[in-house]
Amino acid sequence: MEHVDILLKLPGPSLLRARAVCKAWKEVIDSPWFSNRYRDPSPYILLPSSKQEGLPFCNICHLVLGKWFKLEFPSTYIQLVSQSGLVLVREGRVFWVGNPFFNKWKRYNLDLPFAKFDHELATLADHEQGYRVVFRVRRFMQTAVLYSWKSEWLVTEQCKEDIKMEDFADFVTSSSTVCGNIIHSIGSKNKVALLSCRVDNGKVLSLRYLKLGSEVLEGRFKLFGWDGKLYLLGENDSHLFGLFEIRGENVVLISWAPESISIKFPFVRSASIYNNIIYCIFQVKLAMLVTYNLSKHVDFALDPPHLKGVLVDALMDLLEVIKLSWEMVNPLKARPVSRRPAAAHGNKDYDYYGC
Amino acid sequence: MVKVTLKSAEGDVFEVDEELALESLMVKNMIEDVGLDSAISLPNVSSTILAKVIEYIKFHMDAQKDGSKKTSEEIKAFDDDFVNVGIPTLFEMVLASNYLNVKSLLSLTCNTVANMIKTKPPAEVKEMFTSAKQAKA
Repeated sequence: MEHVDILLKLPGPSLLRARAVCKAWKEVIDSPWFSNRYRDPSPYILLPSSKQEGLPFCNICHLVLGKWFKLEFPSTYIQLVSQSGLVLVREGRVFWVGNPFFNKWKRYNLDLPFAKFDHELATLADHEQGYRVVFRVRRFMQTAVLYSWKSEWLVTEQCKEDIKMEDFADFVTSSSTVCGNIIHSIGSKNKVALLSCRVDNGKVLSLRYLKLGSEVLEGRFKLFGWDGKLYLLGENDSHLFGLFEIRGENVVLISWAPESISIKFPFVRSASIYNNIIYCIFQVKLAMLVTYNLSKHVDFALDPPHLKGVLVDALMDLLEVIKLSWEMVNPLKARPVSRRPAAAHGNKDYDYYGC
Repeated sequence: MVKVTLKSAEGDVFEVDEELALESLMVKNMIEDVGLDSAISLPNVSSTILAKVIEYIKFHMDAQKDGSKKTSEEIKAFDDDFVNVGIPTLFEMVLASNYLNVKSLLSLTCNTVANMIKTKPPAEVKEMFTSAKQAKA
């Protein structure tokens, strides 16, 4: 069954088409064995479609294929997207995790009466043997790390560190990421702190302030990890915008953004990294995609040419960059969402749903 | 340097360094089971494909050695060139790397095939696989 190895490498929409090739492939793709292993390697942008009545439904743009797809649930339900394109959807206290292209979902119930859900504090962790939903919840004025594996919820241990866990509860968490077996999240009040805990048992490994030189780092940042390293992107207290790498408790500057970017777009809406390329979306009045290539130390590039036309005004309603990744091999032919016909089910692009 | 003798489907004999042969987990297991004295026969791999696989492993082993001056661009160029073969050969390489259990080559060849079929409609994909099968038979 060497075909399986090939099928595992297909992007989501192509995989749905591959189901139509033959019965053997359909059986393989539909098997639980396959969906447990499959991780979509390609980049998406998720956009709520604004011009519809009722709840805003969600459009997903597959950047490799340059096609738009419509999802079957309102975009406001989407809480999180993991590094490999798994989506966490929330409806009240019920959560679903799944790959939007398969339309197969696993249900979780958050039945902890004392726990208040805050999506800023949640992480969807990909693990080699599957995924884990990890929430940090506020309970009794404390932050606890809740994590789920095989449908049970477990709560982490406390630890002794220079910042107490209950203090961290007051911090505004701006982002978290999973690096290997460890979940990292950053929070800030005035100062920026990094919390690291294990994915498999939720144990807190460390909680400390980050230092830039001899000073504790201050500002607003997004955190993401790639290749075992952690990066911070954002604006420090003196309103300079840059990219930093975290080494232990120290933060090292990699590059300041040029003024043309930092003046117009001080606020990072969403950031992601793949294949050493950082993609971030800025949003004030206009939204803009900016890339930075770590391996070549190329400076920040505004609105990269191969993505022109995708982002335009559609990004005004941007929900989240799911996971921008992969080398963009094909020129994109995607249209902005506003020009797309609203009657999605008659559109050929959407035929792959429910097949 | 200890040598390992590999025998292809046609019966051609390839003598390679043990270090190189161990990159194939299948050959590694065979060596552990039967030792180095006799030739390891690989009835599922043809001579041409086996030569290609050896070329691939050799290049990547050299590239990983200390003091290697190969840049990541050169390695990528080699990989691109390596899989730039006809579909039947490419499929045979997928089969061979799967059989020999060479993870990096399996990943490279599968990625190449995946890139080929990802924008094709089902009928074309089917045709591609059927014609590759016929070419082999």
